[in-house]
Amino acid sequence: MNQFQSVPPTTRFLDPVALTRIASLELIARTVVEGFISGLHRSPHLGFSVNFAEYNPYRPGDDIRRIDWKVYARTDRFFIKEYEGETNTSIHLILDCSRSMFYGAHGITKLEYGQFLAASLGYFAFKQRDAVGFISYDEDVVQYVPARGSVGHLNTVLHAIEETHPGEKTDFVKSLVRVSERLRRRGLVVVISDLYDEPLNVMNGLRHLAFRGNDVIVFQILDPVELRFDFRDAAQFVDMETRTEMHVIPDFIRQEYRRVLQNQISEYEKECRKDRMDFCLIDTSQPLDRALFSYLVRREQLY
Amino acid sequence: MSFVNPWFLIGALAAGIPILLHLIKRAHARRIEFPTLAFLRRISKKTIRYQKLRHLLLLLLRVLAFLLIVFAFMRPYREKAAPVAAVGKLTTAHIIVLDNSLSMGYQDRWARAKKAATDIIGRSSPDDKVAVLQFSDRTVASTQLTNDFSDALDRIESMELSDRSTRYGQALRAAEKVALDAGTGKRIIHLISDFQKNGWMAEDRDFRLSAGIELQHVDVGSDDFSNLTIRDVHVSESDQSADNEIRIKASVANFGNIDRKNIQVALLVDGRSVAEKRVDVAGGGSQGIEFQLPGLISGTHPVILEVDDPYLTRDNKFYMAIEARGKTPVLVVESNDAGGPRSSGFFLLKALNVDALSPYKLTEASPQSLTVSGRLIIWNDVPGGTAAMQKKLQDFVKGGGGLAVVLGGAAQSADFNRSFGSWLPVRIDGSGAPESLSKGRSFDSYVLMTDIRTDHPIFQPFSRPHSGSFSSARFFRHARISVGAGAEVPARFDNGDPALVAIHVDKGRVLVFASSADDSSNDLPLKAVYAPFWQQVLRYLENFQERRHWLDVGETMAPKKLLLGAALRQAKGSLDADESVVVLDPQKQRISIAPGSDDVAVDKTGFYEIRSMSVNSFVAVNAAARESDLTHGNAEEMTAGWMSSESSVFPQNEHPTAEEQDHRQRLWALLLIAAALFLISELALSNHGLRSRKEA
Repeated sequence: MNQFQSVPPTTRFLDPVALTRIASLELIARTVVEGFISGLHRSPHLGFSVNFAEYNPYRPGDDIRRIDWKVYARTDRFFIKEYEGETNTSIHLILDCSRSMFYGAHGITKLEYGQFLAASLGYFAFKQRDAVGFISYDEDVVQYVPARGSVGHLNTVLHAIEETHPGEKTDFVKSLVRVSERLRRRGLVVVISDLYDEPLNVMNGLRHLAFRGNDVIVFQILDPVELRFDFRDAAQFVDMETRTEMHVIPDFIRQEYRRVLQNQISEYEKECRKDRMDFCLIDTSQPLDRALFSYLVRREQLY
Repeated sequence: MSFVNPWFLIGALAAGIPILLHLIKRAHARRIEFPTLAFLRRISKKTIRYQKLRHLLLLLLRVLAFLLIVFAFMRPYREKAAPVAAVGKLTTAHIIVLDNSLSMGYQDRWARAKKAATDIIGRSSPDDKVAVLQFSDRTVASTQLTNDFSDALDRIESMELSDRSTRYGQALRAAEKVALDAGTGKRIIHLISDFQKNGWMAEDRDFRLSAGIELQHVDVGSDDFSNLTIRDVHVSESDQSADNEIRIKASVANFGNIDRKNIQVALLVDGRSVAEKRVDVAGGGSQGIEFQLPGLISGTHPVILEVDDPYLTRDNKFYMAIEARGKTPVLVVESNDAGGPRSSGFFLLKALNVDALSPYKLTEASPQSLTVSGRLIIWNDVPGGTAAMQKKLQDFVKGGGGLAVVLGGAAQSADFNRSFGSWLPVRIDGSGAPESLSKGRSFDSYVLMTDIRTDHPIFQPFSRPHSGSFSSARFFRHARISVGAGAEVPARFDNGDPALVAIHVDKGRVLVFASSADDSSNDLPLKAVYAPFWQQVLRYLENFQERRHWLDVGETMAPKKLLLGAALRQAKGSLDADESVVVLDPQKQRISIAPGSDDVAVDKTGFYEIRSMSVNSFVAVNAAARESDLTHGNAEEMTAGWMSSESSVFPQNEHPTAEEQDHRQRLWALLLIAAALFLISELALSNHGLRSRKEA
C-alpha cells in the first residue's frame, strides 16, 4: 500500500467527483489515464513491448544490450532500439451493477465510480495493446462484450460501460460462474463490486474465476459514508436491494457496525490472498489512480 | 412537608421536554436508503441493549438531577405541628391600606376602593382583627387593630381623598409595623390602590415585607385613562413694557393615549376669568400655552390657570400668587446748596429712576423739608441734622425702614459722630471733612474697593466671574470710619478702611457708604457696576426676598415670616411678635399652628390664607406634577416584588425565628448536593461515551 502514497501531484485532476462533470466516458478515461501516465514519466514499467518503433542515440546509462550492433557496424555510432508495446493479454472488466452500487452520499455513486474505473482501466489496457472485454452483472450477467484488441473495440467497450444501469439484487455465484464459463482465454480479470452478498458466495464466485487460470484483481468499492457510518440522527434505514426497513439510532451501533464491516473486509483480504487474488478496497472519495496503480503492479507481475 | 416556593413545581414540567423531543423526533424520523442492512443485522443485540441502557441511564440521571434542582428551589420544609390547644384561638389580622392620593379621584376609583375595603371587613370572621390605614405620600392609621368592625367601617366611610401624591414604600412599611405588632396568627395586608407607576420610588426598590406577612391587593386602576393637567408653569415679569406686564407660560400635558382637541384653558385673576385659549393636545404629549396678565394694581393677586378636563378634576387648576410690585419709593435727602453743576444725587437718580428696569422711584428732598415716610431713605452727603431728626430716622429704621448714609465730601466727622454716631456703631476718625488723597485728580493717589465679601447679599450677584468688577473704580476721597460691635463690613478699601458698613437696627437696616454717590470723590458712577450696586443696596435695605409663586402639596410654609414680608412690602411696618396669626386652608378651615413652631404643612391644593390684625397674605398650593400621570403599573408584579419569598410560608399559627426557618428548610441543601452528584455521574458517563465515539 505504501507505493500509493508516492502518487504524483497530478492526481488532483483525477478527483472522482470532478470527473462526473465530464459527459464522455472516453474523455474521462483518457483524462484519467493520460494524467496518470504523465505522472509516471520516469516509470520503470514502460518498455515491455516487442514491436520496433525507432532508433535513439545511446546515452550513458542505457542498457548496452539494447544497442543495435548492426547499425553500429554500418554507421560506427551507438543507437538504441525503441519498441512499441504489443501483447496477447486479454483484460476482462467485470462490473457489479446491482442496486446497492447505486449508493452515493457525496456526489458520486459507487456505480459511477466503478464505470470510471472500468473505462480508465480499459483505456489504459488498450494503450498497452491488450485485448479488453467488459461484463456487467447483478443477479445474472447483464452485458457481455468479449475481449478484443482491435482499434474500434475500445469504443464498444466504453459504450457498454456507459450503458450500464443499476439493476436489482446481487447473485455473486450465479453471475460469476456464468462469466467464467464465457472466458475462453486466460487473462486478467478485474472485478469491480461492493461485494455485498454472503461472503461465502462472493468468495465462491471469485474462486470460479481464479480456478480457470485467470489472474483476478478485486476492487471493492465502498462509499466513505458506508465505511464511517457517521449518521447523526435516528432514522429509518431502507435496504436498497431487499427494501426491508430498520429503525436505527446511529450513535448506538456505529462502533459495532464499523467493527463488523472491518471484519468482513479483512476476511475478503485474507481469503483473496490465500487464493492468490489481489484485493483492493477503494472508497469513492479516493482518486482513480490508486486503482490504476494496483492494476499496473499486477500487470507487471504477469510479464 | 410543605414548600416555600411551591410554584417552582411548574419548572418540573421542563423535565419532560427531552423525552418529548425524543418522541417527536422518533415519529418524524427520516428514511435513509442504505446499500445493505446486512451488517446492521449482524450487530449483536447485546451491544444495542447496552447502548440503550446507557442512554436511558443518562436520561434518567439528567431528569432526576433536574427534578432535584426544581425540588430544592421549591424549598421544602418540615411543618411544626401546631399545639392543639392554640389552634382554636388563631385569628387573622387584616391590615387594610387604602390609597387616598389625588389620582384615586379619577372617575369612580375612590368609591370602588372604599367598597373593596368594606368588603374585606365584611368577609372577616368575628375573631379577626382589622386595622385601616390611608396613605398617599403620608400614611395615617385611621384605626389600630380592632375587633370593632363597625367603627372601622365608619372610619372608611368618612375617609376623604387627599391632594397628595402616591408613595407605596412608606405605606407598606407602616402596614408591616402594624402587622408585626399583631403578634401571632395570620397577618394579611390588603393594599387597595390604583397602582400608579409613579408611586414606586427608586429608594423603595429594595423593600420586602417581613416573612409571614401576606400581601393581597385590590387594583382599582386601569391601563386606559385620559387626564389633562397644567404643568411646567413659568411666571416672568416683562422687562420691556412700561406697565410691568406679567407673562405666564405653561404647558397642557395630556397623560393617556387619547388625543384631546379644542381644550379650553382659562386664566382667572382675583376670581375672575380674564383670558381663555383653546388647544389641541395629542395623546401622551403636551402643548405650550402663554398668557399675558393685564396691568395689575400693586399687591399680590390670586391667579389660577384652569384646564377643562372632566376625567380627573382635582388637578385641573394650577394656583399661583402673583405679586405686582409697583415702584418702591425712595427718598434721596440732599443739600440744596451743593453749588456744583449738578446735585449730589444726580447719578443716583439717573441710575435708579429708569422706568422699565428699576423697581424703585427716587425723589429728592432737603433735610429741612423732610417728612420721614415710605420704606427707604438715602441720606446723601448732608449733615445729620437735629436730634429730633435723628430720633425720627432712628424710629423709621426700627420700624423696618431702610437707611443708606452716604459720606461724601461734605461729611464732617464731628457732625456725623454726634448725630448718627449716637445710635449707630460707626464713627468717622479724625476731624473735619474727608481729605482728598490726590490733589486735582492726578490719578496717582487713590484707593480701590477690593476687599469685598461676595457672600454678602449685596455683593452676591457680583460673585461670579465677569459679573461686574469694583476694582476698576478709583476712590480719591473717603471717610475713614471705624466700626463698633453690631456692625459688619461687607466691603473695604485696599488700605483696610471700611468702604461699606451694614448695621441691623431692630427690624430695619442701615448702610453707611464711606464715599460719595456722585463723581466728586470717586469714579464709581462712571463704571458699569454703579447702577446694579445701588439697586442691590436698596434691595438689601428693604429686605427684599423673591417670593415663590406657589408651593407643592407636602411642603411647609412659615406664616409669620410670610406676613412679615407682606407687611414690609405693603409698607405697613412690621408684625408684632405676639400678634396672633390665623391660617385658613383652601376650604376656609382654620389650621392650628403648633406652639413654638412657625411651620405649617400644606396638603391641599388651592389658596391658603394667612391673617393677622394688621396684614393679610395668601399662599398658592398645587399638587405634585407626577401625580397627574396615571400610568398604571402591573399590580401583580409590584406586589410580588414587595413580598418576601417567605411571606406566605407560615400563614397559620407561628412566626418562627430566622434560625428556626433556616433549620426547617435545610433539606434544600441536601437536594442540591444530590442533584450535583447526579450531574457529575451523568458527566462521567457521557464523557465515557464521547471518548469511545472519538476513538471509533
